Amino acid sequence: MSDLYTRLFSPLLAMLLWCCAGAALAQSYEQLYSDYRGSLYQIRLIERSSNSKAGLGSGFQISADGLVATNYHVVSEAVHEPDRYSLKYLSVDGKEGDLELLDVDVINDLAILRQKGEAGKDHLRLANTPPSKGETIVSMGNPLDLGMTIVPGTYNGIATGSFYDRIHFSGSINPGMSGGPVINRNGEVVGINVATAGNQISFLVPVDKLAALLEDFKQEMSAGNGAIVLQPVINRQLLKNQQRIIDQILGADWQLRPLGDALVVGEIVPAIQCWGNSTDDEDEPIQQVAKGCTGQDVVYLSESFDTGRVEYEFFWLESNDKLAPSRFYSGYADEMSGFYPGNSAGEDDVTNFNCKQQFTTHPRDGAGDKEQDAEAGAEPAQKPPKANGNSDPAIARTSICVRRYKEFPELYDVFYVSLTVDQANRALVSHFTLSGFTKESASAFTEKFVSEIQWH
Amino acid sequence: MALIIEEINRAHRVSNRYRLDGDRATLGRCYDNAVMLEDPHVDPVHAEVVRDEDGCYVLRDLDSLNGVRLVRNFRDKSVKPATVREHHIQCGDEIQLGKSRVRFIDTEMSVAPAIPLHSAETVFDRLATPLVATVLCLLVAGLSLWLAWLGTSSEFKWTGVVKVLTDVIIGLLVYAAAWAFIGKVVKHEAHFLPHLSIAAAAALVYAAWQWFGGLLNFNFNLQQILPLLNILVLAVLLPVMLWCAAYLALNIAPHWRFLGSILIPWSFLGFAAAVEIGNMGEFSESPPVSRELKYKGFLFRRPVPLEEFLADAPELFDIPIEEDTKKGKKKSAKKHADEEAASDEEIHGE
Repeated sequence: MSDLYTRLFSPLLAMLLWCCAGAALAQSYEQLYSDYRGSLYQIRLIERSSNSKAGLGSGFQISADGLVATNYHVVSEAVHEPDRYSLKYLSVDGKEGDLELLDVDVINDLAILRQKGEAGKDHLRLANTPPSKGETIVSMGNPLDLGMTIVPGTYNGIATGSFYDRIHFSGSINPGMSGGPVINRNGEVVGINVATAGNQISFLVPVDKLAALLEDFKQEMSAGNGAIVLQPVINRQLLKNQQRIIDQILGADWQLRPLGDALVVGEIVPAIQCWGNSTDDEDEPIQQVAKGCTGQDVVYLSESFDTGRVEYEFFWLESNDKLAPSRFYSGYADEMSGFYPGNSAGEDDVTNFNCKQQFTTHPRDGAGDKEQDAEAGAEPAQKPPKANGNSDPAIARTSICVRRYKEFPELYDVFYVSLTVDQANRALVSHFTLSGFTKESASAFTEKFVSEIQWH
Repeated sequence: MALIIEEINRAHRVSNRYRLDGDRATLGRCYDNAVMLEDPHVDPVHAEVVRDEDGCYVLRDLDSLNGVRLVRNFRDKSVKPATVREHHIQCGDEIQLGKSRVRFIDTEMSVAPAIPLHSAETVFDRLATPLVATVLCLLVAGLSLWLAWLGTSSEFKWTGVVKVLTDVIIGLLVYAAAWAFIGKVVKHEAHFLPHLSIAAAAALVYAAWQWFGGLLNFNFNLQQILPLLNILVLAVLLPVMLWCAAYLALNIAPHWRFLGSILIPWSFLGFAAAVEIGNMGEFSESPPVSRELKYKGFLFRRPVPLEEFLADAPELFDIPIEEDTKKGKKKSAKKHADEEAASDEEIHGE
């Protein structure tokens, strides 16, 4: 009897002690869950005609008047096809209700909704300061519709190598947890579950993005403009985002690296990561060296449509002189026949490509801009290996293709590829894709890109 | 005036002709007859033809087992089929004895004027020599082999050579054999060698076009219309082949031959072309640019400096967006707003 007494009593004692010790002592995971479960919801995307769920995510209440935050990608179908999809929430206690979509931030993958009817009693506070590196934070959500789950993990700061700020969280986030909150030991939201790379590597949207969106939303409301029409909001966000990226790219110092007869573009900004590859088999008649750089993240607009990608690749193909030029060129054409734009987009999202294809000349060795010479002079180590004294201009078949976004008419995808045809057994291919940029941004990038490549 | 007795075979062609100058002749299976019929259903002496006093010929059944039957008269459609015992022969009468048929023709009957030899005939004669056919086939085989060799950059294995050669040779032989068989059945003339030569010549023309089309595509970016040009080339090549084959193997009137050899391939190609044209405006993720690459020796166009090329690039951005889709979106957005307003009211009502 006394045993039972102590067992029941000791936690109570511990609690009392904790209360006295103040906020410095953190809550246990059980405590966190039972304290904040009332603010957690499962967000359900309902297909109206079949009245069944077409998608699941998590969400959490962030204000007493029933505002709920989740990921944009959880609710994107309801943004694009409001006639087909509606949104519902399901609380941990099984209470169901309708949700109204209020505002979104496609760049940071956030959405704000409101519970229709009676609002939930509990809500979570947003943290004002980011956690310190190594701090344990707890992710909550409903993975695979298995029920509300809490996943402890470690805050590892903002992930590098991306145009978009994402918290690197060491913990397992799984499908269905998207949009769920990640809270610190004080029960304040520090981030929102958004993506996983597997093996305990997950990404969160920092909470300041949500705070900013909430602030914007409140301002709009107080201005009394009524319900926000989302399409122009998304358009504005995309425009601002592409400007931010293009400014970063054009403002950066472009690193050049040698490839075959030319110096090509290498690293520009850390958010665009570069890789390299070459033919493994020595016996292959055509040896190929590939160097490419791709922006790691894209902006999710819908299941079939993403944007905001910057991608450029270079290929150097070479064979020994014994291979007949026609055979080299047929192998070359086969290798290069599969060029596609880097982002996915459907018929409802973009127009067809409008293309221009011509044969172009590229002056060799020093005939280019003076600016380039200065750069090359600054880095004499970067001399291409094959300065073969050829001074005829290089001839390439260059294609540039543009397609326009149907819902965001100021934005375009641009596809550029240039394939040399002037040497019997060698060829250089340069290619880039920009997705979701304005005419001005794309033109500026194109100009910079082609002027950087140096021929020798 | 004399009487001609023509023996007609199953394919309605004359297999034997007998001239009757005297007053009497017999028809039957035994070797004593003036007209000998090789048919087990015919009596040894089956019937006789006799010239009467006014110079008319009379056919008389000599109590044969299977009788004599008047089938028709090819000059007089009013003659009805009937079994006859004695019959006054008219020019054009066709008679059945057992299972054999004979036709009676008056020597005074006029014949149609000669049909001039078709100019294609001399071509076919030249193509029909084994030398020409062999040379053409070898050319096709060689060209296919050469194009296959050019079309790959990796090592060209002997298995690949054998495959290309057997594919080409067997293809040509099967084509020629099929038409030769049809010709043999229909016209009793196989014409295997001309068929083979025609197929080989067509294959050469098509291969040459493929190479030339690639060259055009490389220079002028024909990615989108190249399939249509292919169909156009086939629309010329296939009717010519079919006309030749029909001329050699089939027994049809010139105008039907002409029409058939044009309309049959065109109906199929028209279908393919319609599908091609229908697909042209469709949405495609891949940019419509030529992917053909050749060495600069095949470049006919003058390259422009890159700056000049890029100077025109901004025009590419002027892409019209169809109004109707935009309107549709706006409408649905408006509808959504209405719905929201309605649901708000509901809440207020509660």
